[in-house]
Amino acid sequence: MSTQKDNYSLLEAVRDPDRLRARFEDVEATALEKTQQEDGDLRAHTLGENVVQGLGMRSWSNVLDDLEAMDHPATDGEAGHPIVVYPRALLDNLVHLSEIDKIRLEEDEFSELPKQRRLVFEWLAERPEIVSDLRVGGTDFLAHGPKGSGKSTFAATWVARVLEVNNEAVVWRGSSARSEWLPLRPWTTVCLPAGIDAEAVLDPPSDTMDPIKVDLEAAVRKVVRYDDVRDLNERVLQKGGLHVVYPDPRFRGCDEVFQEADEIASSIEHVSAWDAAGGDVEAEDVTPVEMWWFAWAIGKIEFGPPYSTSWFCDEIGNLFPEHASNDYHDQFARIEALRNKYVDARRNNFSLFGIGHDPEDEHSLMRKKQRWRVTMNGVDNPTNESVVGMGEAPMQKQYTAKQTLGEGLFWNKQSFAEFEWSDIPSWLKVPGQLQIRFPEVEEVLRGC
Amino acid sequence: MTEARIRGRSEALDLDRVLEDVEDTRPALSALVNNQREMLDEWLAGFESREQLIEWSQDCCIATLGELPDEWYVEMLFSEAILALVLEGSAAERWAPASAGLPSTDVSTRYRVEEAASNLVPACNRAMRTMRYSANEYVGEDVDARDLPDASDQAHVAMRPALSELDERQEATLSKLLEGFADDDELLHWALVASQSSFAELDGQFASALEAEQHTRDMLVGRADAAVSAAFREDVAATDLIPSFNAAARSVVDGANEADSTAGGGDGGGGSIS
Repeated sequence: MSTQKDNYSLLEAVRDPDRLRARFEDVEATALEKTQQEDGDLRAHTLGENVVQGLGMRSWSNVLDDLEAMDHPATDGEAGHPIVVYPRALLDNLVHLSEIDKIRLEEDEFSELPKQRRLVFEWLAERPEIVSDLRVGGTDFLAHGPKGSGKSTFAATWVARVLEVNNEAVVWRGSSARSEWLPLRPWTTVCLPAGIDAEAVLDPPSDTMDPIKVDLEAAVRKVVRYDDVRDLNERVLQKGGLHVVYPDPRFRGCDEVFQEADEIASSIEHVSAWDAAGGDVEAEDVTPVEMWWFAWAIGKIEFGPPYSTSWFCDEIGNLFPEHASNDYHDQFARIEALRNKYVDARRNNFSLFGIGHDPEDEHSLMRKKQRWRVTMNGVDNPTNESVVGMGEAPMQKQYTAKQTLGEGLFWNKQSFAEFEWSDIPSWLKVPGQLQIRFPEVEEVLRGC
Repeated sequence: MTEARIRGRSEALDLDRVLEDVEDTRPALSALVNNQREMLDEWLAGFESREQLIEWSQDCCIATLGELPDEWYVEMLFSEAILALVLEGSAAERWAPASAGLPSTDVSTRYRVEEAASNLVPACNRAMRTMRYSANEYVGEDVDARDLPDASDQAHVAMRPALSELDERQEATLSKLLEGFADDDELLHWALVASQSSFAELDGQFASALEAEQHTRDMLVGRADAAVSAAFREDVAATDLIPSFNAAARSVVDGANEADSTAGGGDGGGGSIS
């Protein structure tokens, strides 16, 4: 439940730069200042609960009740929707539990939890057979579907649910190419590298309109700066917060992560534009900025803090491309290093949610480590066939090919469940893509 | 449906037969049928207070998908004669017009059954028909959606806000109003949320009117006599909220309405996670 001062239609906005800017900037979430993330009072509602309200979604405890109530003869005599009948398909993925949470469930002691998480726990406590299907630690998925299957909307919906149910930190991979997080901007903390000027421009979908400069601080919950990887993880990221992180072109703290983390190649290095300007290396040896993510993820898994954190990785195939080689900035070695560290991810409450067009765009080293798939409407789900990292798919028939927009299938080795999600309210939508540029980096590179 | 077929409370089970032809294999459709039955049962049993009747009116808006005219509710909630017929016990006594006196139980029962037969049940039937052909979101996963006319032509069928969501929001908004407000801030926040976010059908001037009218605010935040202000809050609910709730329930199935996207998403049928 939120407000926008000038509620121009999307169509009006794409024709007029001022309206587009207003649409981007003048949006705020109702009562956000009363959340525990803003207010510090642990009795207050959470930012995740606020997002869910703002997106017009039902609370998850109500969804559970509805799913369970679907015990009509037409569902073949089974009590409830497959999501609750086969908890490992989707519920296990969403509800992140720590060892302490398992004890809480055994002892029926939920008083310290925020409201929604408490309600979900109360629901679970009455259903020990479901609890026994929920495993401790972080989860993951690789979600894929064709253009227009609602991937971005699904990702935003899942962000809201993960925040609401787990009150954990969400990190969305910021990139210059895509900004599918924009509908969530009133709740977003944008994290930028310290000491480098950044400028934000909105690239409209229309060819006839030039990119327009926008005030990022006005549009999002807040903009914060981080000094290095460790500073980001230890000081900046907030439990229950939604962060869109833009990587540091100076790679501060990245070499150290590789040197200090156990069981990975410590020789991997990062070369910034400033290093090249110093004359030691050639400009083409400057490490592409997206390589920063390997150091961040390894550092987060290895050094914590260990509270639950979910990493949303749109266009995951760009970060872990199937045809990665060491000739291109040691990309293969970086993927291998993350893969090796990833065995600790689950235990350290680190979740990786990847989204892409085709699962085979993602390197098989990573695919083998991911335990869930989400197949979206418009493509075939595998039936009785072997899938990399998944063994034989549990589906006996075709579901997703005939689904329509906003529908998909959650599955793993053992079980599957069809599910749906709704559109984002139009007042939150912004046409075009946001780009965050660091003019200084371009300038330094030109000087090389 | 003829009057003769439903003659009294004991024969209310005949409603099952009436609803049989609209019952469907789709689980969410039968959820609506159950909703409707519950709503009809409550109607026939009568209400303990006008407040309870207002709460029932909200349920009725949802169960009939707004098929009854807005004025039907307003007229009922403000007519002493009708209130005396549908309320029970001391509440009925309170509202019975001095000229006519308290109606007998027989008269009350007959009125409720007739009203059910001539207005409520037909509205339920219309709602079922609308739902059957328009709402893919109410199709369970095992039912063959290809049998539905033009279901594939509706680009956003799965993206329609759900009744359960709307129901939940309406209920919360209404119960807050009936309960009263602690102070002006709470009231204005409520009004803003109710009109801007949840129910675009609610007159946009509602919040600004509240802001301008000191007397209205005094009544709503309980700075007046308790009984008087409670009645006043009921009046506001009856004149402003219920008709807008009814329109909102209609717009869920009408679709293509900006109000839908602000009224929230999700559905109760297809395993929606929204």
